[in-house]
Amino acid sequence: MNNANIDFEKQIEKNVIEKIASYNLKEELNNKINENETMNKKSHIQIIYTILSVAAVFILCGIVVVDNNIMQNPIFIGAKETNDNELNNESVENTISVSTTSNIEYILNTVDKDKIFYTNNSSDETSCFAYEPNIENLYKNSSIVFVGSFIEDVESYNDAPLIRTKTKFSVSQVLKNSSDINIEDTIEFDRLGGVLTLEEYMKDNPYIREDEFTDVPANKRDEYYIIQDEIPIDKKDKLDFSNNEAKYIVFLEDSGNVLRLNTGYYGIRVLNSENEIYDYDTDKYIDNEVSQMIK
Amino acid sequence: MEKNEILQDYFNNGNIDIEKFINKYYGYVFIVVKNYKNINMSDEDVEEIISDVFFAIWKNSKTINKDTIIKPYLLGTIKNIIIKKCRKHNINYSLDEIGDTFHDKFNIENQLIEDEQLDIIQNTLKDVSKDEYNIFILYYYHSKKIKEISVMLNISESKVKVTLFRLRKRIKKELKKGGFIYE
Repeated sequence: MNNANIDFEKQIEKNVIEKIASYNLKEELNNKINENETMNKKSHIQIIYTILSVAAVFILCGIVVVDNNIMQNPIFIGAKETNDNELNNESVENTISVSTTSNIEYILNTVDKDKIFYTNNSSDETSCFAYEPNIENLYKNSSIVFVGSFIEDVESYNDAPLIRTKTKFSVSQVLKNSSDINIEDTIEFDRLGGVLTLEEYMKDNPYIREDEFTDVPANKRDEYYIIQDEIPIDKKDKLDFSNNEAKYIVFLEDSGNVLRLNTGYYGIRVLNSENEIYDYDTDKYIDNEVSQMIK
Repeated sequence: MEKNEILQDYFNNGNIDIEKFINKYYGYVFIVVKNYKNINMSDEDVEEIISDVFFAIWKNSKTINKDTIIKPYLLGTIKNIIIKKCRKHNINYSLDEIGDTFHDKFNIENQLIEDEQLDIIQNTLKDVSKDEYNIFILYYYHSKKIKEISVMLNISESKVKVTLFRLRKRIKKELKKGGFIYE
């Protein structure tokens, strides 16, 4: 049998396998066949709100440096400043590929409530910012500003005591790029918040208190989840990444090895149909010099 | 004289080993389909029909008598699939082609609905990443568990779970667009 025939046969085999897999999925959707034990819906979901005082302290008293030179010392508002080498060598090892928004929804829908530790440590008006995080200041103090849409949360990782998530956006327009990075059709950056198993979160985490999570047996920690949610509850509709058509303006700072969202969730703002930018503090859409740059 | 193989020869642990079956009968089916009388078919049509034939064998394997001799059964299946394809494309064919393969209207409609659902799912799969595709096939074709998939692909169990969750959500969305309602 010549190569063309072999290729054709392989293609047939691939088609058939795909068709069988598709059929099995269709049957599952039609018959609501129970999934295996790790994907079954549980009967109760109980969300326990805990305030992580350590994380709150770091967020409220974040390390910032501001000077008149926009390019010097990228500003990060929030928790402890980590050495980026540490981040790359250690924290990234503790990665788990779990996205933020959609995966919070998944975890909440599929895991027992008493197996979720949920925290909402959003930055708000009581947080310490080096500058007022309005649109003009964000534009001035960001290395990269672009317009785009959410694609996916690639993975969450442990940056103790915080969880961060590597997020991917499509890029439709670059408004500012004073970094060395060549921006293409998509861009990845880190933002605060995410989901990890308790095991992943506790691993090598010096911020876990002695009396914390002691009621969870060590061999069960991979069945429990920590959710750190950085988006305020009352603003979640403005950062609804399940809406595939929403466009956002995103403000990023270049921290050398990694791009980070500038001033937490303030650095992502949804646009309305007239390309006006949502303002969290006034709950209004604003038309200004920055919005007028958007095509 | 070559022994007439039966379906049972290709069963393993209660399920048909479709890859082994394809490997053995691909050539036979290809020649029959390619030379089917009175109908000119493109390479794409031939590929589609052959794939559909083996899929039909797999799908019916649980209900059909396992002592069924393969070649005549294959011939009947090939004829049915070709007739279905001709009907779909409004190609006229002679009445004697229908013969005893006539199906009542209810079965035809159900079959069309199922075909459309499968087309939608397979079209959605064309746009997924390689990792997502592999996870999908390992779970829904090879029936691997989440833990097994995570070990095989060297990724976390959470990533497998989330990928499957997203795929299902995406496929459901496409099926809904096609007019099929799922919760």
